[in-house]
Amino acid sequence: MTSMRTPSGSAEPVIELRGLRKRFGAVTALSGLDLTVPRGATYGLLGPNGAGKTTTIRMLLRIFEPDAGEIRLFGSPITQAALDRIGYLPEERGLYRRMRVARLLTFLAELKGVPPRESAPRIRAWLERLGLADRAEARLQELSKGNQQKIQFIGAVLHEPELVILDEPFSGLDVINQQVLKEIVLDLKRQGRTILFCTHMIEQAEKTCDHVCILARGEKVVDGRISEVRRRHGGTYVALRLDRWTPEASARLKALPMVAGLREEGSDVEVSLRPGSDAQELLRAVVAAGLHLKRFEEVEPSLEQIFLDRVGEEAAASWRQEREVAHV
Amino acid sequence: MSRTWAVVKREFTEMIRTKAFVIGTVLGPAFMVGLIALQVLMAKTGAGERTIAIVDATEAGLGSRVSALLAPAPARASGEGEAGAAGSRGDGDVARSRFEVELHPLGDRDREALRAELLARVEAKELDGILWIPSGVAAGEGVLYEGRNATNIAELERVRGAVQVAVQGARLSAAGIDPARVGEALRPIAFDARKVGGRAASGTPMALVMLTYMLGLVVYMVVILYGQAVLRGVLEEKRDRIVEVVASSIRADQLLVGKVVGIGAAGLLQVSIWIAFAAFALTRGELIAARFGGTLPELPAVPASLGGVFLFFFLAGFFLYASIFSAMGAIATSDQEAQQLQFPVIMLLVVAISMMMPVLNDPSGTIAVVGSIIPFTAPIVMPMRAAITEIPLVELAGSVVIVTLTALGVLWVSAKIYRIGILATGKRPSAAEVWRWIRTA
Repeated sequence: MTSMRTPSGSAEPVIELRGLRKRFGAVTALSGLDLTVPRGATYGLLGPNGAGKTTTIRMLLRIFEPDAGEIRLFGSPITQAALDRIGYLPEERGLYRRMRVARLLTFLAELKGVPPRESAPRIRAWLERLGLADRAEARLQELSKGNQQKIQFIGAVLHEPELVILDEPFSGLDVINQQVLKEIVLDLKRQGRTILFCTHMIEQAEKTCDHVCILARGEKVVDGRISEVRRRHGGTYVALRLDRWTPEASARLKALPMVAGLREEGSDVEVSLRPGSDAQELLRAVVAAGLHLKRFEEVEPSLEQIFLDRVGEEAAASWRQEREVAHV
Repeated sequence: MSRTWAVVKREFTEMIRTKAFVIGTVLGPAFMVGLIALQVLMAKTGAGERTIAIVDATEAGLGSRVSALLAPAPARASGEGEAGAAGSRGDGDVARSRFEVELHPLGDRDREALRAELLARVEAKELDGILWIPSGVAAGEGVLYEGRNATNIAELERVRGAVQVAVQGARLSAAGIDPARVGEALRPIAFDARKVGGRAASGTPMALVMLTYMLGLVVYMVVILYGQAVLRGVLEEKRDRIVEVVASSIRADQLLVGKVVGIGAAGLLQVSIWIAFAAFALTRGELIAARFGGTLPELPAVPASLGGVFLFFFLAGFFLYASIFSAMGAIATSDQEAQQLQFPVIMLLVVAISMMMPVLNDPSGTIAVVGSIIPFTAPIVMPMRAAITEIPLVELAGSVVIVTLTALGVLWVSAKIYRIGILATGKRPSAAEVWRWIRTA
């Protein structure tokens, strides 16, 4: 565990992918992905459904073999020992429903090479922390969905892995439990563990992660430290809130000469400006157009904006729709 | 290795905690006790009381002789009365029906009228049947039996035997031999059989047939019950999406082996409990039987080598079939599909079971030998053969090698199907797809 205290950057990356390819029949799931996850990073792997996120993770975990490319974990090719240093919460949750909670967790720890006498106190502590101490002898099927998911999460971190892979960890959890889980993830991060978040909830990743990689249709759109990604993307963006959003107001805004594009969410609008224009110009034009504002702020581009700029309106719109469906 | 061990432990402990296991383990011995009790009871009461009418058309009064042979006065029960029974004696544990005979010398009476009268009484269940002895019986004229029990082979054989002895006596008398000496000459011999051992078991035919059937049936039952448990386990992991967590920690072949070994160990435990109980019950069996007022059949002597043959083929058979079942579980995407897919597998087992009779009749015959070469039938056929005959070592070794290699081969192929199949959801893969999995996995 001493390796975990090594300052990030000085050690070799936790995950390194080079030219990773995978096809399923006629479908190309991943076409030549390069990716580097530094030690200690909270790394968001983002993209719409079918972008290749889960395929990437499954290849990392040796569940699938890549058709081509190289995977290095903790600086060397995949070994059983390397896999033992990983904890994995899959998107499609599943546990032995008829098993009792404590027994199941003991089994999952044992699969990762932690003997029962070592896992027992950890299991007690985790159940305590997640408010499930009294359910240790309950069968999984007697637990609510949310509680089952907590058990699955415990199973993923019980062996104190250096790299924690969480595939859509917040889906299916109520707001309170989402908060509980966020706290725990923050704790893991403070302990120096590397976290790979796999999600299609881009705004959430933007808040939690310090690094991101956005995938679309099996290809990388952009990756790196979030601040860097934004800086590299360039351009001028303004977030503004209209006093009252109307189609007409929106149309007038869009018609302004310095506006390159709009991203609207209710009366919140993110405006990207044409090269050569600046925010002051926009402010003057908005006032002149007779639009009433509640907020006007020059901002860095959101990840969604970057995604939109890179892959086009159509792909971005369908992704937004997907997320809205997920929210409902 | 320790990962596989974790899977073995989980499968084993979860399996022996199921209701099905507990019930099966308890019901097995209860079933055995029931079987013994039933036998004793059948020996006591199961034998029927038969009342038959003998219509005697002979002048020599053959009918009364038959009657004496069939329904002897109690005092001479051990004498001539034991006559006609080729095959009914020998084990001492086969229930014998008691006959009461009503003699009707035909004389001048109208045959049809008498028949109508007697048939009416058969109809009314006062009689069980009518035996017609024609006047020319000694010259070869046929004897006819009409009755409600005409499908009871043992009873018919008794009746036929009695007529046979009576007619033989009459013929000898007609040839001028002193009737007293005829009776002496025709006195039945006591016939008994013991199978001799060597490396096979020895004992009375009845006990051996029972033992052989038990060996075959135990293998069959365990393979079906626990093989299907493997299939259900694989299907559960797949359907409930458990496998992704497990597959990220352990290789598919390790998982498969752990699963098969763990569930197989539970099956072995259950059979061991049964055998231990049976051994205990049989040493106390006389006492149990005595409580019901009966006796037990003589027990066969079972050499240790038979135990070894049984154990090997039991385990190898389980491994072989469990691997196939696991592959079926990996291919299927629903319980219904699993049902369809396991049908051909169960057919293989049924073929093996259908070899039981031919193997018993001729344990070294063609069917028995072929059955022990085919790896899918050998696990059932071989223990049966080993119980009743001495199998040439070459054959035994050959069968062991074939079954072992096939089991390993099937396990290897199953692991490949399993590796891809357990993660595949949606529609069931075609045969071509499964073939591609095997080649690429």
